[in-house]
Amino acid sequence: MTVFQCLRQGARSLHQARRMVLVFYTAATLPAVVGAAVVMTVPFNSLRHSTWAIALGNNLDASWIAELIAQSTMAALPMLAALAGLAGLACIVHLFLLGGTLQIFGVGEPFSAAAFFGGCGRHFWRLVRLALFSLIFFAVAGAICAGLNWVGLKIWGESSKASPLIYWSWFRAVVLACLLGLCSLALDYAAIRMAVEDSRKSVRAYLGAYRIIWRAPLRTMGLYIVLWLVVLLLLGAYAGVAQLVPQTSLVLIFLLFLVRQVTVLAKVWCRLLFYSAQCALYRDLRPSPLPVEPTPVPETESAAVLAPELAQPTEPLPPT
Amino acid sequence: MRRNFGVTLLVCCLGGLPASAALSRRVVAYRIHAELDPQKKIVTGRETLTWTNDSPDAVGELQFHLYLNAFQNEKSSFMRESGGQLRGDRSTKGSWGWIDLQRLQIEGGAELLNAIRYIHPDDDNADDRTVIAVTLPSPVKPGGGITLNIDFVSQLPKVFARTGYRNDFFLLGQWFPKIGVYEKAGMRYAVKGAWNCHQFHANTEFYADYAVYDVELVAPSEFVVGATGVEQSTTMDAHTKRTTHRFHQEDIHDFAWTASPHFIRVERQFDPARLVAPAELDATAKMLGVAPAELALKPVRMILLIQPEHRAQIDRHFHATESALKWFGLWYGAYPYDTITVVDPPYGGGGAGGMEYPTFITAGTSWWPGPNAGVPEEVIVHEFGHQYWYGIVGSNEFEESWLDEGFSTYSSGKIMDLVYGMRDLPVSLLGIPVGRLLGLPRIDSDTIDRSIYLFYGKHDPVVRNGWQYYNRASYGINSYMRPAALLRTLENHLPPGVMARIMRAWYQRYKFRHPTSHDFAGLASEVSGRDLNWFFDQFVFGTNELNYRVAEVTSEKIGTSIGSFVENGKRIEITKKDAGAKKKGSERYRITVKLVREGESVFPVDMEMLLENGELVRHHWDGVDRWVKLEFTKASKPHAVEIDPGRKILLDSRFADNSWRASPYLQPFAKWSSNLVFWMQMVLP
Repeated sequence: MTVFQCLRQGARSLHQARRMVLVFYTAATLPAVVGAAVVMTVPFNSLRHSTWAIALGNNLDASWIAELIAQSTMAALPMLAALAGLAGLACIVHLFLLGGTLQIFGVGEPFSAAAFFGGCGRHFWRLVRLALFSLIFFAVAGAICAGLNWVGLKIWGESSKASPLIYWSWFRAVVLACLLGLCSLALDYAAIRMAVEDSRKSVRAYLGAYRIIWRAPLRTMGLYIVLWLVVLLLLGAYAGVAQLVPQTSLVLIFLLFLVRQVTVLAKVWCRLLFYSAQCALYRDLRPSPLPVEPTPVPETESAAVLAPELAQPTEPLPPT
Repeated sequence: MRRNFGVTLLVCCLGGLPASAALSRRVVAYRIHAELDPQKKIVTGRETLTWTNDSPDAVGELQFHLYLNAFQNEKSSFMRESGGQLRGDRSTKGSWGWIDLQRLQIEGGAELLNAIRYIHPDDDNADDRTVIAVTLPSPVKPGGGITLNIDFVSQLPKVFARTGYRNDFFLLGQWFPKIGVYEKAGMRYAVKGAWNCHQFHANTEFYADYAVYDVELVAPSEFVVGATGVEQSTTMDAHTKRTTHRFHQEDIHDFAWTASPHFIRVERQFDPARLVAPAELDATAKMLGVAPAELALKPVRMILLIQPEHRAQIDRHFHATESALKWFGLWYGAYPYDTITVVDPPYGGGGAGGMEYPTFITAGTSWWPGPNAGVPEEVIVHEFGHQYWYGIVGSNEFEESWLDEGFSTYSSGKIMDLVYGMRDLPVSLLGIPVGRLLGLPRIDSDTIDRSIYLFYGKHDPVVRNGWQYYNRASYGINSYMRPAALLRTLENHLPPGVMARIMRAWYQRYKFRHPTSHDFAGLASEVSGRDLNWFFDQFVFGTNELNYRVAEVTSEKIGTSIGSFVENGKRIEITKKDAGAKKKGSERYRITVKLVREGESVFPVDMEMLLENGELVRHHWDGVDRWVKLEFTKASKPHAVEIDPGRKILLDSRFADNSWRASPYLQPFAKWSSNLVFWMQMVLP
């Protein structure tokens, strides 16, 4: 399967389960609305009776922000804590919904509320474990970049020119993006694999995901890059449209709000496309399952093409 | 050995140069020969210092600054106060700086090296060695003078706190023995004659007497050298491959220099005929109430020493320097010197950036500052401002830093707004400016100053010894932004043009003198023709907060009273029916507005009330009482009430409570909510 065949297959699967877009949209919107409401209490309390709001609506004045901070430092901490809690909650909700997504795209169940939320519950704790384990790899990516920073400072830190360090920081940013992308890609395939195999072995799945990427780097990374290009294209289109809609009246604010909601829906669609397309590719890369026999299979007979560690699956492989 | 001679005569003889008309009293004359050893980071110097006793006292002791000793170990007052950190810059451990005297001898007379005492007039730190006192064998008589020959060695630290080196870049400030200021009784705050010679502190800058400097600087020939004053000659020694640069300047109170083999040296002429439009000249003259001829500026040689990687910013550096020369010159008085040298420190040499010395300033920029962030322009214009408020008007920065830093922040802020307008926040990511890209709010000088002033904390008044502020932040806010905000508030309070006249009078009257804050307060009252002591007492010498608030606005429809009344000599009865049958449009409302003074500071304020029918009602309140109740009877309900509608009183700590609207203005809340929801939707997984 080529990258574009995967995309087409993914888009088709996503179209068949398009109600999932609404589920994810709701999941992104609810905490956003709650978070925004919490934050907006601050300006509203400060300015609801103030004519200054008119000027601030045009250009947010740094001295008003300073005024807020100077006079309500204590209130900022609970608010930041609330926002951090909200972000944490959003991550948990995302992991929860991911289980359902993979149940539909990975396992191949037709979309229904029962199938989707059943998958959410079934895979949730496995995905939590997987996410926690993957943090080690994300941390390693960060550490590599910190090391590169250290190397840069060792070489050019005492120089009288800024440019070598700035070019180096660009290089570090690219390296960091690639490493984070790789970790994220592995996380995606590990999650798909756990769902497809109905497995609880998060460590094995994550390490095995790297193996998949290693064996088919062009297709796995190519698909990932193409999907990101789709996202960037979308953001570029949004930025272009947003420039045309200055928020100078309530009507224009509402118009831009609608544009933004379309953008958010498109973002959710892209996000789901990541999974559906990658599930399609995974199915293609994954070897045909061996017939499952009721008796224990000898180790040598179950060696998988992609992942030898699959030799002793703890649970039977689901039909594909 | 002491010699009696006139100050001017003394200066005329220096270096055989023709003496220009003295602008200052020229109390001191320095002749210095200094050699830079770039490998050892050492300057070896011979100094001939002639000091004239400009007081009626016989002076038996001299005091000198040896400021490089602030960097000699962790025990100096500077290091104790700063913890080795200043303005985000950190001193390098193991890279100490010091200055050692090897000879201190009265010309043709006694060797005084053994008579040196390290003193610490500001604190009890016996380990501080930044000030010395020397008892003379016999006092210097009033009007008399003394010439000393001083040999010294200055070891430079890695660049930190305005002096030192970064690889082969050198900035030499406070690098030679400099005599303190002998303040005679009646000068500034002195009740009797005494030396004003403070230690080097983390939070203070400098104060010295006007002098003539004639300085020879010897550096390897590949080094580009820049310094205070006018370069008179360069002499290259082919044998040693070292070049001697000779600089001369009169009527200045400090001398700094820089050297680096990498500088690109660019020189341009400030040409007022080309840069000052006749309309600008006329408008300024009209504002100041003077004849345009009085505002004539003179050409100035602008010398830029810039790093090769900032080559693309050469025009920006010159444009900022020209703007400063032009507007400071027009507003306050022509720049009196022939040159201004702008130095661009290298990457990693930030400790040398943003500093002022007479006719010599250090700027500061980045690899890619972005076109609209006001960097490096803001630094250049601000540091140039010090030429006026520290260099020419010789304020004592140890004791009244606001007279320099605050005045410079205020006046350079006005120029930045005038020339560059609103600027982007200087935010960069990976060296790339992203302030505009992220849609961050744009800023002007008032916004910057007020935003930071709000954190002044009420711990300190503006005027205080620099090392005695509550903390470094308090020093910074009370020296820079709070003074700028209060000067701007005063400007807005006074009729148009009056503040400009005050500032010009300040410069014209006190140039080449050492005035105080009280001198400024007195001058402001004199020029404005009104007693402004209430302003200075509260906001310069006091700590109280200023805050006014619209506390309550109510309106009540005035109904027609029923009953029996006498009208035009006739008794009439108005029934409930009659009262209800009043003509439409003849409604009256009783409007009550309560304004409250929340802070302790008093400031007269204007209030504006906009009615629903568009009528605008204005009221002036002297602000003395804690609150005032205003009652109006109007044909319409109030739509909005606002104190200080132009937001001219920058010192008001809360603009947000200065107004009241009958119904909230929804647009900004809708806009911000939409933005917030969208960005959170996009960021959340």
